[in-house]
Amino acid sequence: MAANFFRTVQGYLRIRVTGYAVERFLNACGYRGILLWGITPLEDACEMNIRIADFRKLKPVMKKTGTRVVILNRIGLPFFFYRYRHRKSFFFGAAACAVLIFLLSGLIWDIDIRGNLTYTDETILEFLASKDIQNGMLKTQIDCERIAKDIRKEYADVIWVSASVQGAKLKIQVKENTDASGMETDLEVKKEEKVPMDLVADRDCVITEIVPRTGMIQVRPGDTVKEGEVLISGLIPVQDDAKEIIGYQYQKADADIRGKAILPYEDVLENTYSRKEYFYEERPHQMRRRQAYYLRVGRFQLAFGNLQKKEENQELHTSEYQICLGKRLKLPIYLGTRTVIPYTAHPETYEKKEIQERLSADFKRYLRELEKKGVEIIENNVKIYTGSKTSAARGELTVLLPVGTLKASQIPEISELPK
Amino acid sequence: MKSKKQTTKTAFGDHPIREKVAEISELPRDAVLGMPLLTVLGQSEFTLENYTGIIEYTDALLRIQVKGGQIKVTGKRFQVVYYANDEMKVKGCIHSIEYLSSEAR
Repeated sequence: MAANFFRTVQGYLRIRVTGYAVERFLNACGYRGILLWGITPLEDACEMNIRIADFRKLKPVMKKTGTRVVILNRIGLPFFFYRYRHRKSFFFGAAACAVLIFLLSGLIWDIDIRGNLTYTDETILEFLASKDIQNGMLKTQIDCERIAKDIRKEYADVIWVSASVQGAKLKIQVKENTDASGMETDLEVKKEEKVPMDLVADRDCVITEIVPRTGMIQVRPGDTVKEGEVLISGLIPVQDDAKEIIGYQYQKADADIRGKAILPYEDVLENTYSRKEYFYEERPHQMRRRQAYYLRVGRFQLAFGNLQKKEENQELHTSEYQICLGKRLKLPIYLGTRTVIPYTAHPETYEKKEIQERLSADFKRYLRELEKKGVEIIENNVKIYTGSKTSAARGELTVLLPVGTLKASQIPEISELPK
Repeated sequence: MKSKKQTTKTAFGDHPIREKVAEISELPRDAVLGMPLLTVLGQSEFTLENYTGIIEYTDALLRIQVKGGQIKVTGKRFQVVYYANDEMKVKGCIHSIEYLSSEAR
């Protein structure tokens, strides 16, 4: 296989040798170190392959053995180049292709991250991008040790990192410490301890229940609080023997607080609507539509097909596909389809029963969403009001809901400290 | 002038002194004695080293001159894959391989 390739690169000839003693010709060639291959015997001749350089040595052999040599075929690159010597642009293209492959293979085309469980690929890629490690950069600029160090430094629970360049791919393998998940939170807490955080009310409500974990309680069950009021303080006062506050311990306030609040609800529905009637083709039985394709490169767009407006009403659907090299290298090239579906609009009015059904369905969906957030509904005063033009579900919900959102504490000045 | 002893050593490997030398020195006999080295792969291919030349070559018969005799191979569809000064390889369907010593001829 390899020998054949090199012979093709060097070029060779298929020759036919005729004469009284072809065997003598073969022996003479062997004696002179001329390599022959693919020797096929014919009735009174022999066909074989010979290298170009060896062919030039054949004259004395032919003379001595009384044979004649005819060239049947010229095979290989030298003949190929000679035949197409006038096609300069072809050779230029081939050379440009080789140069481009050489240059582009010096870049990183893909970053492959493996072994990450808690951190997503996107998170790590973002971090790498902040360190100027991204697709399209020069391979020579990559310092694998530096990358490994940076990742270990940034992510405390990553216990092992390996970065290597394989071809045009930067391969990053990480191992996370899955056993000691508490360690990470401790570290995070230590980091955040420096900034005290309060738990403040995110809406007006009456506090019903408090289960504190960290911080100083500022309210009691039964208290009415306004939005923004501190419920649990992240500043824990440090007192001396005389019960005077000499400083504060900074904490991130943490507690489960529930409060009773009133949520207003309103959902308005127009009594009239526009019913769409699509056109159907008879055969094959499908919706009438017109499609056009386009190619978008950056801001420039090349459309194939015409989608001029023929009907008064029509829907326009567009779907776009971004071309990617490998898994992550997204090129600014998009292939897209635009579909126009014409329709006729018919004004219609909802019946009373239909209005009720629609508004009830919307309200039930809203309640389900609330329940997912841990909200408990105590009282429901929502009613449906039907008007001539619009109908509405309106009212109030009394609920028990989790209260509290984190906010940085206001640290009092030393002078403000009570004496 | 050739001695009597020398004129009688015509068959393959019939060269007692050289054979002894080869045996004592533990050198490969094909290299020391110039004996032909034939490697046959099944019935379809053979490689031959240490030959002098081809005497006859058709697609059904191949007679090769070697030191101290000839090797005659019969079969069909013979094709010499390569032919160099020291080695040749032949493909085809081999029916028989015969060793013809100079004496027998």
